[in-house]
Amino acid sequence: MSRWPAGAHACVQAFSSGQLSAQELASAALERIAAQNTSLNAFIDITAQRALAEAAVLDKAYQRGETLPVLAAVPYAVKNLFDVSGLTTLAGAKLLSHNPVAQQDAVLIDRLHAAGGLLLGTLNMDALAYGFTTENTHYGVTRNPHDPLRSAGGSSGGTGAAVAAGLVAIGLGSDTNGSIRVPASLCGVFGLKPTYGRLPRTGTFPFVASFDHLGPLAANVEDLSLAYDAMQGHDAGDAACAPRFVARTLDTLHRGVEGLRVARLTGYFDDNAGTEARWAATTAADALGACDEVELVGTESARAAAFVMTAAEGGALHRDDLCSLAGDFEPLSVDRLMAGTLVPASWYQHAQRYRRLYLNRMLALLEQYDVLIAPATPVTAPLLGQQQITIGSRQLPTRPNLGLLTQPISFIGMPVVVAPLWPAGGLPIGVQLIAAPWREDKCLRAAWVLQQQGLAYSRVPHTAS
Amino acid sequence: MNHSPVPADYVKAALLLQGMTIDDERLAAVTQQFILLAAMADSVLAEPLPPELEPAAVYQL
Repeated sequence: MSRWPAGAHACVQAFSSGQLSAQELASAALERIAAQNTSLNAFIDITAQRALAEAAVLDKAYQRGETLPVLAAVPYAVKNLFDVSGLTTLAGAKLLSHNPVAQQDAVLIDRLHAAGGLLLGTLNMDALAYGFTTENTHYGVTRNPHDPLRSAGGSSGGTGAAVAAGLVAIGLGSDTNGSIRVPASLCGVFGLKPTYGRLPRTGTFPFVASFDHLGPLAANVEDLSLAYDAMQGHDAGDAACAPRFVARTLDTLHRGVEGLRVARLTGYFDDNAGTEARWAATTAADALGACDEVELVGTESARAAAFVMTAAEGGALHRDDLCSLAGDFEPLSVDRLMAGTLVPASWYQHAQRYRRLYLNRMLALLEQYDVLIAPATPVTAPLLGQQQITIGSRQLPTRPNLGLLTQPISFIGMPVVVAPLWPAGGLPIGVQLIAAPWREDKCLRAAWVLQQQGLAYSRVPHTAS
Repeated sequence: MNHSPVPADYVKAALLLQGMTIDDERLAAVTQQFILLAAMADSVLAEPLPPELEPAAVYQL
């Protein structure tokens, strides 16, 4: 067999069966990173010593015959807005490079460590998580493993690329307006943006606190579910984290969509979808037995409200540094952050009230349906540096518009799984599978069905295999 | 409501109020971004909202 089992379950199996030691698994992952990161630029920091030390502990546990944790010897990495003990949390920003190193890990890293994961490093992103292409002026662009001339998406582009290239089995990202879902779509991997408040953000660098989320990306639904289950649970360090019981999902996947009412979102979600995106949504709808096509009224305004609130909250967060250190900001987003500090309170408050109205409409729709389907991105991966994307007869600026279809959903906190489909042409594109708050299980079950039918899958590109 | 053209004077004054001094080139770029935000805000402000709608948290946890 390959020295690198594909995916988290395969790593656990290889380790727990004695086929490979944890240190061999860690070393194999490090070799892959060494071979490919120069071209992909997915990793910012590589924590080789830490991964090997964690692996050594697991190997001793195995030798002693101890019960192994659920993610034993699974290599993973995190977007570099997660605190990692001993590293400065950059959030992709030169601005933060002079900060002291983190004294402890983010809570989700603690949980993956407790579950046996091996931390391989931190991953590239759009500066301060403000962007959809991971074209980072200070830390370089991250390239799409399926075509190095194309974007990996963003802002968790390093995470998408690392998982898609098979460098790690699990990657963690953050998603404010689509930053897990856009790279999952463009890199052809599965991604989960859980319900707002489900996973604690303690020990991560914020962007827009009222709709920042964290979640996993993985090469298959089972791995996504396994990682998500390992990270659930309340933490008082995040004021928005809900005191919910842990709702494990892995054992529910096999239920599929039996008994679930599925519909495809039309209107705005069709109007802003290119040919491949529409194909993906209709293909998924057919495969999941969608019974209806429905329109969610006011989605364009919801996207606009998310756009305004993002600029306002992001600008407010960085106001002090914008006053004194503007030259250290990412040139691609500093002007919008400055403009965000000028948003009148009346605009912000109206947007917030509109969020409530739009949420109520979505909740009403989700009383009729269990899963809603929409494309994740308007188009497949654009070329790096491409200034405009084409949707139908319209030309739109690339950087702000890759999130056209994701922004309205995260703005109201719904759980979403992105499943990657593969239209003709060889580049993947994702569909969003949306459910009611706290029902991540339904999103995952729908994604699992698409995977079982052979429609949704990730594939390691030839150059990376 | 129509916010355009947004006067660069407003943007400059509002930035100054917060302690941000910028050159003319950056002022033009920030003004352009503010115009984009204003256009986005217009579409939201045009949405009629029931008076009882609170700007509260997303939903009950």
